[in-house]
Parts: sequence; structure tokens; C-alpha cells
Amino acid sequence: MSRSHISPIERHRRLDVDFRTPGGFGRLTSVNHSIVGLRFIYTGLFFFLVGGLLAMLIRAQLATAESAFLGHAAYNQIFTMHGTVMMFLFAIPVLEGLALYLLPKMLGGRDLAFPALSAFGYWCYFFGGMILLAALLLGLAPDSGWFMYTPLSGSTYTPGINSDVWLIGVTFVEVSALAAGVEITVTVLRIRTAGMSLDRMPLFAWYILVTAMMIVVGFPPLILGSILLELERAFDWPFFEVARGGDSLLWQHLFWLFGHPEVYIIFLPAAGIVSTLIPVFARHPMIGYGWIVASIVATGFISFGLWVHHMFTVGIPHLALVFFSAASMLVAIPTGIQFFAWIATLMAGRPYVRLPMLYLFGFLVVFVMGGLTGVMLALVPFNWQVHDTHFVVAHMHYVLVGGMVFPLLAGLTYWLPVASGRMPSERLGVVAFWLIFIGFNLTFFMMHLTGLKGMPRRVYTYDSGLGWETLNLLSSVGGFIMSIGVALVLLDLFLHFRIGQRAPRNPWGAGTLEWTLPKPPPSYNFGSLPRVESREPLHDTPDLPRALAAGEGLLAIPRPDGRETLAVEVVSGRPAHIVKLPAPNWMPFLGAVFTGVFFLSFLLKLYPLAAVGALLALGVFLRWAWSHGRRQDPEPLRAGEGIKLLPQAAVPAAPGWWGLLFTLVADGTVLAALLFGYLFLWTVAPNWPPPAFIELQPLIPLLGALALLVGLLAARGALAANRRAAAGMRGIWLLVLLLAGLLAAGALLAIPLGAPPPQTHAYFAVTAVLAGYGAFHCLLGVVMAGFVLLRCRAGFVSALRQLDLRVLQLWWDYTSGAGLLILAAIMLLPWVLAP
Amino acid sequence: MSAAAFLRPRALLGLIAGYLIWASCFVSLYTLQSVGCALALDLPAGPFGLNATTLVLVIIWLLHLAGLALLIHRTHRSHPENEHASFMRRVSLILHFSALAATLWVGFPVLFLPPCA
Repeated sequence: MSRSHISPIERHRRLDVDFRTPGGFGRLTSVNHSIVGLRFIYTGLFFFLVGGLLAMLIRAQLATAESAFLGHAAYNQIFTMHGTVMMFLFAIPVLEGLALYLLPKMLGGRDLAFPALSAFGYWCYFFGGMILLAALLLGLAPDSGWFMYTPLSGSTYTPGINSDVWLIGVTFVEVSALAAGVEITVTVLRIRTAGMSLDRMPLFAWYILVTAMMIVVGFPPLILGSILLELERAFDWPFFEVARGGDSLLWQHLFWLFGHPEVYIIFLPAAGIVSTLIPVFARHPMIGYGWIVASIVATGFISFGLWVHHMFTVGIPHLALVFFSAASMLVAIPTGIQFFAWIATLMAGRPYVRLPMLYLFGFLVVFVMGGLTGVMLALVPFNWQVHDTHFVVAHMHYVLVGGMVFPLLAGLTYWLPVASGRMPSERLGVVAFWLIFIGFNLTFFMMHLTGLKGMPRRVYTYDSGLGWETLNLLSSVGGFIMSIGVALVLLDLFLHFRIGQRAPRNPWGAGTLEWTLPKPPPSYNFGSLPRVESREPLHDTPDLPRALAAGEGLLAIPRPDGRETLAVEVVSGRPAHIVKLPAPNWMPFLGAVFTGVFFLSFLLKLYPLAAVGALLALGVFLRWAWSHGRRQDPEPLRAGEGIKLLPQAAVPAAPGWWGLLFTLVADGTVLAALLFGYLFLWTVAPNWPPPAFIELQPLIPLLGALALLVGLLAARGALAANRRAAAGMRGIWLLVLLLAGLLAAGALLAIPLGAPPPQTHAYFAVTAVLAGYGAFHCLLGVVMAGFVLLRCRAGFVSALRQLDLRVLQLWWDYTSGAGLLILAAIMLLPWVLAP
Repeated sequence: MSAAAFLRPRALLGLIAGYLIWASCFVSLYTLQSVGCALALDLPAGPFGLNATTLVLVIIWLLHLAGLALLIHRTHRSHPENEHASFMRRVSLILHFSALAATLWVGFPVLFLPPCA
């Protein structure tokens, strides 16, 4: 390692100037991952309290038979919001926050791949959460259950604004989840330190990587379902109304296509915490690293094959039920492998018990019980017996609280010293743990029994004399004991930041990089970036903290336009290029504000204002994109150790390209879910075939297909011309792309415009959405082509700096493929399936 | 597959290829079962008294199993030259074998159950 020529204090001063967040209103401009991550965690914990208060109201109501504490209307809002808040506003965001905060520190980076995207995601989450919270306070909260089943949530049975609040508020929050999904995926794959190959990556990063990819694929079906239901409620397009060719089961499919992977999206990061803590407290490297990686990937896939097990009672053919029942049993195997690896590591090591380990003990006991009742529920006959009873409520809480809350508390107490520089209290923490553990089991074990005795879910009261009273009272007492435990955790946290004992540099004896940082960590994390040669670099080189502060790593000398971190080759971890990170700026906040204007105006049915919000948001995003790149070809930069690397502006596969790639994966999942819905309605919905088919002149779809193909070629032509430095030809190709995009959009829009109104039948409604999806992508592609044309003229693009064109090409590859698929579906499906 | 192939970004696709085949099999079986039932193709009309839907499902299932077997064969005969490539190969093999078992497990009921009952 080469020694730098500036002192550690000078290095700190220079880096901190670049990375720190301004004070006052400037805090709104923060893009620093530590600050954004902590904001996610704090806001998530706030919503945990909100969800907990709602749970206490539920338990107060159900403590006795025939209780008059809450009416049915209030109870419906409360249990719906309890589930919604806990799932969408607490569980996912808090785990995202933990990942955003920790990943760069564990992977040896100074920030994430797209820090501004995370900041934008946070504000979307914050504003979306506020919409839901405001509705709760105004008594307008959703009241159809957290899964919003149709037709109950439709406009006939829920005519007020309640369902719209859920559909729009949750979709707004999901924008944030998708942003975090893309952010985390690209960060783990590309933004690591030198030498951190995939096989040396901390297991936590593997878990978070798979989780992020699951978010990218898992959330779009629900976003699509929400859009369709909102279209039905707002504009009377029938997707779920049976009389006009819709099917309420389509909602269930779209919801659970998201909903079941969601369970694993919550569980996997928590399991990542377990896999991080166990080797530390067992004082032994994790046994079966490769097997655990394989288990994580397998879980990620199999969890997408389970969704119908939430629908075993809706009348699906037995063979299909067996597919899903088999997959439901299958998913226990990779989870079991992880459990055996954890047990083996504990047996091989010399475990010692501290507060985080105690929470892991709680996790092991509670989650195993939840897993066992899960296997029971995977069996179709048993499932039929306990469907919609409190047995399912008990199972779900054993899985979610056992699988997420206990590991989260373990993780929070374990990593608290990183964030605060202080140790958690063992005394208060132990009391809190036992209160939570005992209270939880008292609350939810009883629900297995009330469920087996036939007590249904979602009822606001019950008659006396059914044998449910004592068990319910015990459940409620348990709930309040658990709440006292949670209050003690909060008290502990409060005291911790004020009078907690100072933490040593590596209090638990861990081997991962986050423990090399000063406590609390500086805004830029690492003074210089380490080169790692094993999975536990701190165990290899205990002197690493001093060496990094002294500049004995990479990127040790901050350049004047600083904010740099390394991007590496995906698998080998070899340094690939230097990433220039953004300065604090207003774009993420403004982008989220205008996106919020769009969502809120739509909610209030102020559609012109919604259009203005969308246009303003687009303007902010374009301005944001304009601020990237440079007008001169860069020289390779010194990175230390004699290595010279190009900045990302001159690299074809820069993080921005990868970001779009995974965004398009999410986008493609929306289209796949839409095509699934189309096929589902054709084959399963009762009122099909439709009264008439769309009769098209073949010229329109042919013209559309031709324009899409020309678009595909033009984007590639522009890139090829740019490589030859033929600026004139590049401009011509871009103009051709503009025209082809407009023509393709026009042809796609002509299909629903020439058909009967979408309100007539689900067939016309789905066709309109399919065509609208294609046209929207073409029009966005046109805007992008125009944008790149201007960027070319402004000097941001050259034969070396081709990122803009690569991004444009990727977009048009997708748009052309998707457009052709849509045209094929619209034209060919009636031909194949019509009687 | 060469050692270098395990180090390219596409190696990530190689890692999940087995489960992509599993997913394809799962989606195809579920979709074609629904379409077959919608088109009333569950009457005995094929060879051995099999109905057309079952026949299609069995063929789809076998094709996916064959694809997985081929993938395992190709991965197994590769010779990684460094520890990173060796890790990718080992994890890929675990995943491909488990995907094969998962495809067998999820798909075998097509042999025994009527598709539309």
C-alpha cells in the first residue's frame, strides 16, 4: 500500500467538506447514505409505534366478548391500517434503511451507487406515509383489510375515498421500495472495495442483494393491481367486476404475487442479520457459506411459486393447487439449510451470550414455531379447515415477528455502537427482551387455539359462551406486556444516546469492515478504501482502522471535485472505475414533492393538477439527469497502488446503465403481470368472450410494428455512429428515433381509440391498458431521444463518453420488444382463444 | 464453460439459470393447465388415453427437466482456475441440482392428477 502525502486530519477535513450535509433547510438536500438510511430507520420505528398503538386498540376491543369499546367501522379502519402500516411503512422501510446505512460500510464504499435516488425514495416514503397517516387521523383510512380484496374494496361497496387512500398512498410508498431495490442491487454488484469478490462478500450483502432483486420483481404486480383498481374506481374501467368481464380473483392473484414474496422480502434481510451475528457471537467463521448463498437464491425464486396458497379455498383445479402446495413445502428446505448452518456454527464455536444473542434466541424459537405452522398451512385440507381463522393470524405473526422483529432488534442492538459510538444497556435490554418474548408468546400462541376453536379473523366482536373469552383475554394481556417491553426498548435507546457507555472500536470482535470505522462514522466512511483478501478483513489485519485513516488504501488523496468511490467488476471485485458521487442537492426532495402533487391530486380527483405534478416531476428528473456527465473526455485517474482508473462518465457499463437495467426488470414484470391478467381473464373470468372483438385495419398494427423495429435500429445506429465519431449521422439516427417513437405511440394509441369504450367490457379495458403501456414507453423514449440529442449538442457525448446513448439504446431495446409483444397479444390472442 | 466465463457479469445469470428454468416450468405448467382447461382440452384424445392438456403438461415438464440436466452437465464439466470462479461453479451446481429436484417435485403431479378437476 502506498502512503499518501497528506495527514489524516487534512484528509478528514477535505473529505468531510465534500460529503457532509449542510445545516438548516439544507438538511432537505442530503443524499448521504448514513443520513438517508437513519431517516428510513427512524421513520420506520415511528410507524412501528403507530402500528403498535393500533394493535393495542385491537386487543383492547377483543379482550372481552361483546365489547362496545370500538364500533365496526372504526375497527375495520384500525385493523386495516395496523396491517398496512406494519407491512408497508415499518417492515420494508426499516430494513431498507438498515441496508442503505450499512452496505457501503460493510462493502468498503463511501456511499451507494445512486445516493440521490435513495434520498428521493425516502421522501416518497415519507410523503406516502403521511397521506396514509392523515387519512387515519381524519377517519378516512382504508377499511377493507390490508389486502384490499375486491369487490369489497371496489366503488360499489366502498364508495368513499378510503380505498383510494390505500391504493395511492401505498403505491407512492412502493416507488420508494423500487428505488431502494434498484439502488441496493447495483450497489452490491458494483460499489465494493478492491478485492471484495462475490465469494468474499459479507453474507448480509448476499441476503440484501437477493431481497432487493425480489423487490424489483415482487412489487410491480401489486403496483399494477393498484393502478387497475384505481382505474376501475376512478374511471369505471372494469377489471375486477364480474358483470362486465372482470374477475375479483384477478386482484387476489396480483396481490399475492406480491404478497407472498413480500414475506421473504421481510424475512431474508432479517436472516442476513442472523447470519452476520451468529459467527461473531459463536467466535467461529460461518460454516457452509456457499450453501447459505445457494439457499438465499433458492428461497428468492421458490417464494414466487407460493402465492396461490393464500387462495386455496377459491375454487382452483386440484392440479394447480398441488403445484402451489408442493412449492410451499419446498421453500422450507433452503430455510432449513440456513438453520442447520447456524446451529453448526454455534456448535463449532465458543458462543457467548450478549443482548443481541438473546434476541437471536427469541428469533430461533419463535420463527421455528411459525415455520412449523406454515408447513401445516401448506397442506390443502388443513388449510381449508383453518382458513380465515385466528390460527392464520397466529401463524403470520409468529413468522413476521419471529422472522423480522426479533432479528431486527438483535441487529439494532448489535450495530448501535457503529452509529452512536456507545454500547447498549445489557440490564434494561434484557428486561425488555423477556417482556417482549413472554408477551408475544402469550398474545399469539393463544390465537392458534382460538383459531382452532373457530374464531374468524377480522370480526370486531364475538358472542360470549363460545369458549373464546379466556384465551382472548390472555392474548390481550400478553399484548400489553409486549407493549411495555417495546416501551423499554425505546427508553433504552433514548438513554443510550445520552448516557450509554462509550464503545471500543470493535466491541463484539467482528471481522467485517464496518467495525474499522471511527465511531460515530464520518460522513465519507473511509479515509482510504481497503483492499480485502478474505471474508473477515478485520481479523486478518487488526491494524486496518489505523492504516485506512493514515491513507494506506485506495483513493487516499481527495481530488478537488471529490466525492469518489470505487466500482468493481461484478464477480472478481477487481477495481473497474471511479464513481463520482453527487453533492447534496434539491432534486430528490423536489422530485418527490412533485410526484406527491401528482398522487395527492389524483386522490382528490383534481386530474389537471395531477398532470401538472407529473410534468413538473418529469422536468425535475430531466434537470437531474442533465447535471450528470462532463463535456471533456476524462483522463484515467490515479486510484493508489499504482492503479489508474477512468471515471464512470467514460465507462460503457457504468452504474447508471445497470440502474436502468434493473428498473427495466421491474418494468418488464409490470408488463408480464398485465399479460398474465389478460390471459387470466380470457381463460377464467366468467363473462368471456366479450360481446365483440376489436376490428382493426391490419395497417395500423403493421405500421406500429415497423416503427418499433425502426426505433430499435435507430437507437443502435446512433450508438454505432457515435463510436465512429460521426456526429452528423448520430444526429440523423436520433431524429429518426424521434419520429419512429411518435409513430409507434400513435399506432398503439389508435387501437383503443378505434375500439368500443373501455367501460364496456374488461376486454376493451385491458386492451386499452396494454396499448397505453406501450404508447407511454414510446413517448418517454421520444423524450429521452430528444434529451440525448440536446446532450450531444451540448458536448456531453463523445466516442468515449457514450453512456447517454447506451442508456437510450437499452430503453429502446426494451420498448421495442415490449411494444411488439403487446401488439402480438392484442392481435393474436383473440385469434387463438376466441371460440 | 471456461474459467473466465465464471468471472463475467453474465456469470450471475449462470448462477440463477437453473432456477430460471424452474420458474419457466412452473409458470408454463400453471398457464397451460389454465388455457387447456379453458379450451376444454381435458378429454381423453391423445396416445395412451391421455388428454391433450396432460400430454402438453408432461412434455413441457420433461423438456424443462432435460434443460436442467444439460445445464448441470455443462456446469459440471467446466474447470475453474481460481478461487472466485471455483466458488461460482460450486454454488451454481448446488443451485442447479436443487432446481432439478424442485422441478421434479413440483411437476410430477401432472402424471397422476386430472388437469381440470
